[in-house]
Amino acid sequence: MKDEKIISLLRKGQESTGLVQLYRYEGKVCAHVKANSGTKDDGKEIFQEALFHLVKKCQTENFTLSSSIDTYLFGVAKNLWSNRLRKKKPELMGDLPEGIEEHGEEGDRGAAIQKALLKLTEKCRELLVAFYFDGFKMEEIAKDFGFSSAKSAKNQKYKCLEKARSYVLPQSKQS
Amino acid sequence: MRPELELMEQIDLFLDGKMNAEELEAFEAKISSDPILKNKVETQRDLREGIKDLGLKLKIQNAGRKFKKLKLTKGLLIGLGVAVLLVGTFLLVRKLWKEEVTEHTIVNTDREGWESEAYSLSMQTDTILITEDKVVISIPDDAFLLDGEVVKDVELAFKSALKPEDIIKAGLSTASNGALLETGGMFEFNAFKDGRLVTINPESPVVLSVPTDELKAGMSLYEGDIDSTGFVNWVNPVPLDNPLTPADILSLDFYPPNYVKTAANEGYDPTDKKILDSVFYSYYCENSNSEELDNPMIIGDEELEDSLTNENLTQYVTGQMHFRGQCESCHSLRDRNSDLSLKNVVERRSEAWLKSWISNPSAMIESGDDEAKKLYERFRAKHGLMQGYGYLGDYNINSIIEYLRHNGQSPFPKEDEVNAGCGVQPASIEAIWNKKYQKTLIATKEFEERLPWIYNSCNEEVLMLYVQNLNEPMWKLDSIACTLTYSEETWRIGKRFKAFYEQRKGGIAVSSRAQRKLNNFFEKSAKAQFLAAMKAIKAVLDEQARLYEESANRHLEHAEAEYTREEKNFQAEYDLNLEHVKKELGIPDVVPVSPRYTVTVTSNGAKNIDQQVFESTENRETTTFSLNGRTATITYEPVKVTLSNESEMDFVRVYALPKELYSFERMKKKGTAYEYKFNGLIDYEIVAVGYKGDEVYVYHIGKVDPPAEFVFTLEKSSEKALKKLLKSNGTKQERRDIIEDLDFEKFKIKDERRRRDFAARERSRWRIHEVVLPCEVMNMEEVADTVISAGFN
Repeated sequence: MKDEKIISLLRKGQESTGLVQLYRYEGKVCAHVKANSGTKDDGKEIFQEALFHLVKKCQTENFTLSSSIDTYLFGVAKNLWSNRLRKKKPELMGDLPEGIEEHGEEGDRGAAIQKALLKLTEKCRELLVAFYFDGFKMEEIAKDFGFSSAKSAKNQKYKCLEKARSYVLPQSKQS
Repeated sequence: MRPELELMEQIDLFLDGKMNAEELEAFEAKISSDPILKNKVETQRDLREGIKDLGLKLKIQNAGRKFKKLKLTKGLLIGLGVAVLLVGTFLLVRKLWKEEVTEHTIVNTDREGWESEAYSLSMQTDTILITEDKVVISIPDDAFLLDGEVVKDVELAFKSALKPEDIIKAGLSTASNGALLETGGMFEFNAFKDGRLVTINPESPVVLSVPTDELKAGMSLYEGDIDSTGFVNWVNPVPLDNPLTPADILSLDFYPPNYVKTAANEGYDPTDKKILDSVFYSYYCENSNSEELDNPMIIGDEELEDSLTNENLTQYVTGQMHFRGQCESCHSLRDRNSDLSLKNVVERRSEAWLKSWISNPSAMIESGDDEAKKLYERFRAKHGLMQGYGYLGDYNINSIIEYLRHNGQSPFPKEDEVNAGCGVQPASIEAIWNKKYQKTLIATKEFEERLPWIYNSCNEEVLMLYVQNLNEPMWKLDSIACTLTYSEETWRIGKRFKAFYEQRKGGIAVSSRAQRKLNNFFEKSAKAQFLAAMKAIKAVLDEQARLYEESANRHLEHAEAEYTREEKNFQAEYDLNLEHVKKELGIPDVVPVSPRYTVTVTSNGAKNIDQQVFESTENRETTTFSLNGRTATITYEPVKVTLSNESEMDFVRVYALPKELYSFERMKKKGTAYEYKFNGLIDYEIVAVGYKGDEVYVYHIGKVDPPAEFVFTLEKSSEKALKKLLKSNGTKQERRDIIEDLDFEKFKIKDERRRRDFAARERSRWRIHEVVLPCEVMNMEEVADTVISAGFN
């Protein structure tokens, strides 16, 4: 599949098909991480983060890719890995390839949000993702999760969201 | 929805830009004036972004897994070049050799790379063998028969090939009528007595447990059919039941969903099973008619058969399994103009035709069947010829046809009446959550897993089904549970039991004698527990009713005593006042003489002195009376008593003891002080009594000169000292009345506390009741939603 096709898939919300194609670059990233005092699992993690950045980037407006996806992904992954290494060992600095800006890991706020979401039960997460990410209708969700009505499902959704919020704002415990 | 959740919905609308201009303006104004709301909106926005990121991450991970799978399948296809069927194989050669036994000859499957292990068994007791491949063989002492007699001292020949490399080394095939099988291993098992092959006692079968890295669904046991060249064809598949996971029954959780959490919220120790039990078992549902308890539901074989065949449920579900596994990749049951759509195929072709086509299409074409040939010509170029599925056996092929007959539409009844009402009685759970049910299917993780759904079916029959058919495999009971629960209202529960059925969990052997004994035990125990719970609750309610009546009587008695005391005091005081006034005014006492004339007087004068004295006494007001230049005065002066330590007391009473009257007068509280207007004609003492728990505090004032104000501190005393004080300072009547008054007050405080406690207890019991007997309380939809919501916490 050509790069343009993959990018258009990623943009159109048909991420899955595109993403599967991109996994062929995973080996290269893993090899790089392994060669730079990391493990294979580190490599997989970094690769997934790089994919995350790529999809996010594709979905912003006016996005054009100056290099090939391969180069881009590898560059971002290298960048992410050297950032992580820098945190561990400050003396290790990597040069950035051209056309690739600095990629930090998620900010504090983002990290706190993700942490809060991970504290939820898996079912809660599934429900929230189904609604806010996959964009399923409440009726479909009710059916999938076995609720009697969209109303019950919606109620549960807000309960889950409220719980997540309570993890982010532990001081404000409103009833 | 709670207001807070509604607010979150508002915020969602705001963030989605779905508010109209008016709403938007109002909401924005609210946000800018309310920093808490602003924070909430921002957090919700960040959370929504976070959820999207999370979703993307999950998608990325999924894509990774998909990629791996793709890579794997590609590898496999290159390696084998043929399709692989997900069916297991087990070789059981013994049966095929039965006819040859008489001639003492057996086909020798021993060859290089696949040799037998030999074991000598004395068979004096049950034997458990572990072979080199870690196959565990459990052999009952009466497992082997020769000429219908149980034999001892047998020789056992066993060989196995479990891993792919062993199978290849042993030169075995994994083919079933030309189709490849995925194997969980192959073994051969033969027992000999003096060189003769023995048969296995069908009453005491040998159980083999074959190790595997991963339990796969849909595995079957095949028999090996060996031809003269030594090639093995695998035939007659029998689906394997998946084993149950036994557990110590007391370590399992048989409580209703959410019960432990709710009980903990109500202050019960969630780690103390004794307490949780005693609370749980104290509930019962009254709607249940006791006849049901008298005649527990036992499903006979007939009903089992009925349920399984008439409903065609098993066939349908089995057919569905095969259709999904074998057919769905090419065929569809929906009408989408697909070439190979099988919608309504049973209307186009006869059952017999379908059967032989599914079994072996190429044979059908060869035999010259017109329709088969036409089909082949039409689709050969595009789809090729379908493979034959004869190896599945008649039953499975029939089940596929059964599935086709329904076009994949579930045959389960949809609008059955639901047998709601009480649901599962705690007494029934108490009966089975008992060591007596150890080593039955009740004492398994699987039963524990089904129990929440049994509770939520609101149908005790479902519980009875499992409890009273212990000898059946779990999947059979699951399938009946499914028919019992598949209705308009409880279809979600039915769906769950269908999923349980599809797990095809086996059973745990229980002798019919043990089952009878357990049924007997259940019947007695459940009934006894039900009655005990009912009796206990009734006793509590009876006791409360008794206490209520007692309290009402006590209040009445006290009110009567108060009335008498006040009346008598008033009468005495009035007499005293009147006598005083008359004396001072020089009015002689009228001696009642009969007969007399009655006259009406309209002018004021001495005649209505009585009335004036009455009013003065009634209103406790100082009044001066004059008649013929003489005056008389009745004085009422206030006395106030303040107790410095009153706030420490549970209750306080301040009594004025009038020497000349019938009994005490109550000093009434006004603001912080106790007040009473003392009559100048009467000598009073004051006794103040306070109670703090059982401790009594007293203060006594022997002489009062009204008007007066006292401030004093109650001093610690005792009941005995109080009585003594009253004895030496008041009249007998006063002593008796004060003690009665104090007793009543003590009783009232206790009684109110009791009522409050009972009300609180009832409220708490009700909150647990809603969880223990939800079917009695809620409608079915609500019950199901509660269970589902419980999974989110």
